Amino acid sequence: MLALIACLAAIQIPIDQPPRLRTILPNGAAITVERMPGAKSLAMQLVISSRGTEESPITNGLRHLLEHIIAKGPKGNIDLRLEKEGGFLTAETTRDAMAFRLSLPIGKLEMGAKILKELTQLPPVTTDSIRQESLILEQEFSLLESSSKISATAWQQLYGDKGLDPNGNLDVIRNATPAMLATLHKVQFTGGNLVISVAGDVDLDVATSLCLPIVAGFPKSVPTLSDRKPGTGGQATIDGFGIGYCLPVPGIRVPETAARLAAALAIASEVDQAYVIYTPSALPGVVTLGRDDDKHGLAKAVASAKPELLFERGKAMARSWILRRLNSPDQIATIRGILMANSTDLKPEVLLENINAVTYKQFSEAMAAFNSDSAVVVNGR
Amino acid sequence: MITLLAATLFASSIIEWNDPNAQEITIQAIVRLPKLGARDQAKLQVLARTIPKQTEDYARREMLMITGGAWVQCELTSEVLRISESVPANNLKGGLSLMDSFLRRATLYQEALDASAEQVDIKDYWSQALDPRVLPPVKMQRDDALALYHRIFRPSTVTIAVGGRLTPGEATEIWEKRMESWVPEPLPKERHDDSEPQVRTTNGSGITTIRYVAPAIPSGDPALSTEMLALFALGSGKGSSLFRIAREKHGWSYRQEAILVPTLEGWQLELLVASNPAEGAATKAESIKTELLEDVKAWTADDLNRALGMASAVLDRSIPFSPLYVLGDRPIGASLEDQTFWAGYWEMKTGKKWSPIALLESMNHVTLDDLKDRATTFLNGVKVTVLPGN
Repeated sequence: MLALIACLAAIQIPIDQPPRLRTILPNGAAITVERMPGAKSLAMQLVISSRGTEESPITNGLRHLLEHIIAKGPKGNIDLRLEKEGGFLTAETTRDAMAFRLSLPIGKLEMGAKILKELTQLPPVTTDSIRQESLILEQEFSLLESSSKISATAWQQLYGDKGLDPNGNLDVIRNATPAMLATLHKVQFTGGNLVISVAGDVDLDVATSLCLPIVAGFPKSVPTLSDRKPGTGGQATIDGFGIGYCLPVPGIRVPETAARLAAALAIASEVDQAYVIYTPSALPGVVTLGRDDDKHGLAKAVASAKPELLFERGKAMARSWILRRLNSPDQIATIRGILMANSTDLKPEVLLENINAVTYKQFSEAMAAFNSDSAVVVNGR
Repeated sequence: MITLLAATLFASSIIEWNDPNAQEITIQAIVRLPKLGARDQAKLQVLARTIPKQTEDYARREMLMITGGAWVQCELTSEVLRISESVPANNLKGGLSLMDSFLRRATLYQEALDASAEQVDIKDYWSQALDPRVLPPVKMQRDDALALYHRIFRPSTVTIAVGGRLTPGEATEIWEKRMESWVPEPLPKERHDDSEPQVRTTNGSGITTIRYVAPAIPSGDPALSTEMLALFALGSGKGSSLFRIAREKHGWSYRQEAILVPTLEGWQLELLVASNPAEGAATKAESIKTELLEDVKAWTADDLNRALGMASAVLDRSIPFSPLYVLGDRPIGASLEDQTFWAGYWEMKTGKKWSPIALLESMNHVTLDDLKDRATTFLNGVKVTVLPGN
């Protein structure tokens, strides 16, 4: 513990290097390292694209189950080892990727690399361990918030089976077999699907060379960007609270996405306790503008929003929204990792540039879209 | 002279929290609350919703111009009211002026009060478990609201915390200058309201919650660091006893955490478990407690070291799943706002500067036997409350 405290007080020597380094391996795997002098945390993440393993009605939830099982580690002791050193692991499965995120004290680069390597392996799986994990997933599903349900409902309405909720279907999960998970793991863990994202007070070359062996041994694959095309809007209901206005967006390379995000944030600023959900992606997605109570408050704001009053505010809020995701090592590693898993050349600055370039016309069209047939309006109880 | 003396004696205090990487400046007002009866607690809730809407100096749109579009938040716990605003890095002066206006010149117009009184807060399972109060509906007249406002907001109850990439002393100088003119209204005649709020008996979210609450410990208790470490060992992190038993072994819960809640007098240590509403929650609650007691007996140096590691991760780096629930239904996070609030709050509560290293050093002296002893005492002393989901 004394070593740990000493570590807390230590200051690494600033290094004269560029802010970040991106490396693409011959097998298609990618590594991004961002140098943040003075940062107190070190973030190291393994992101696995869902290319080739996208959700379908018969597999819906298997990736989520696999994520739970991998996170335990081959010997079931990853959490104990990490927590003893002041580290922590979280994991998440989205439509585009599965991510394992380590938050570590500074100076724990080697330990992080070792644990990321273990997280590329499939731990022993039995029907009993699947049954046990199904119980936990059932508990997880029961805690889903209304905002998640609203967003998931809109995704499915807009994109059908390509918008299935990555949390999954409990029946599919309960009927999973060890062989199914082994196959899924094999398809998922190929070079072109793998990204390691590191951010913290690190040397770019040292961090990159430590991460190379983690992903270098996987078979080569060429990433092909899967696609989804939005259908039409409409009305939907959920077993939950509140209301959501949800619009399809084409992905962060397209200016319309920035305009719709800015419009959502601007309208939300007119109503107490409104929220906006958007996961940046190269692929088409959904911007959700919602509120947990008082349907009329949000409905009125959507109907009466005046772009001439909200244009500058909307752009400022969207800039702040993305800049806040570039504040800490954990956030930076997360957004860079998830975007590189989409496409190795994609970065959050693309969205920032598009936000800065949003015109009044684009913004007012985006605002009007929330009140049009393009939107999915999801109502709770 | 008397005014100057009073201003010195009862002046609001200010702390600066420097973060050289911060992109914005955050300004936090931490207002210590007196003990309030149920009706006043309900009124204060209405007041807290209304204050950020408008002041005598700033309309809503002007506020958003100052903050660069960011919302001003006003949150309540049982112990403090928090007003939180963020401003662009070049607008410290504007931000402090806005905060001053919230503290002294909120308009509290009748229409805004009525709208706030009608607002329904949807509380999730976690919030309902942590704050089981059911406050009576209230309608507030403006005079009544202003009287409560002036009773709560006084120089002596306010701590200001400013965080960001700061020039040392600049925020303090601006704030102290502004405060020279704050002569509080005479305290309104105290009405005696000692009514206790009703307490919910079910969790209306549909999720069952099991809460293990130990008797509160005083603010300056020297055993706080040992108590906290025992809490980390029992319920913080995925290697904790609670996680291993309630989630991994039985599959009874996806979310289960250790919680440290401030009270008016000190701190309250808790464990909280959320479970889908299957039968037998009371039996599960007892079973978890019994198994935790058995688990504590088997703790080794690994458990002690894991608790120390988690404590360092939470106190120094503010990783998620912190037990520091000083913001009501959510713990302190890593954001600049939360870190600044925490630094100000800790100083207000303990009279000492926040130093994670000092607290961690004192935890480092805890032995395994101490840890097991504290955890056992905690578990034997807890009151178990089950709120069945319905």
